[in-house]
Amino acid sequence: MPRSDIGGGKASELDAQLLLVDDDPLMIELLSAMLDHFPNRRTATSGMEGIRLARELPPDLILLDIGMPDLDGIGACEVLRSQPALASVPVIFISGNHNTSTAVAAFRAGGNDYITKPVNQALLLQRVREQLGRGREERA
Amino acid sequence: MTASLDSERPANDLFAAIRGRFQSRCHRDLALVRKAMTERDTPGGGDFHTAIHKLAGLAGTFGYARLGGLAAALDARLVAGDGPSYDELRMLEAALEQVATAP
Repeated sequence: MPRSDIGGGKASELDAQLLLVDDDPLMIELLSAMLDHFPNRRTATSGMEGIRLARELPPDLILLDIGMPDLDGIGACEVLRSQPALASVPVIFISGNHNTSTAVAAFRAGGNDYITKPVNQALLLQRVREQLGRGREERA
Repeated sequence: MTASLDSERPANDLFAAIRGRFQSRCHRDLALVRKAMTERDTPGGGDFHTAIHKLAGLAGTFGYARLGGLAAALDARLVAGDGPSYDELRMLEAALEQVATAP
């Protein structure tokens, strides 16, 4: 199977609900443009807003920044994991923090992957597709 | 200068528009860096650090590797509690100026 088909191919990309959470509106815009293969995207600029949107409509995948002022991404992920409806939603952290300890804390909080900025579009797409594929396998 | 964006497809108008907004922000960051160069103690405090941290992530993602690298190095120094040297700020100023005024 071609690597690009991981996650179910184009049809799945059209269906997948993505939630992007980053306190920097410009980074949100940039990530949205990189992920325009996935038309169903919602965005939040704080951890609290991200949790609220996820509760309203559980997404298929969450991209979560770590350094945010009100509730950081690690805290937000812990809240998400405490919600039964959101406990198994794949979370990919996107962080400007390259410290190993931060990455370990992110995985301990329930993150499924950890991408450091600067973000490469091809790598981002591949890892999103892989997490979407795993999420579908777990739900099947 | 678009290495991070053009690996899957060519840059399009949407990316160009976002890049324009990034360049506008570089003008703002340039003013922050120049202000920091005139301050003797920890320049700008938390706002300065937040701006440098965001700059590090964004610049590299837009493909401005030198600017992103300089900002990331400065971010790491600020995390460690060290103040930036004048030379570091001067190099960052030059890199920001180059990106901010690029066609």
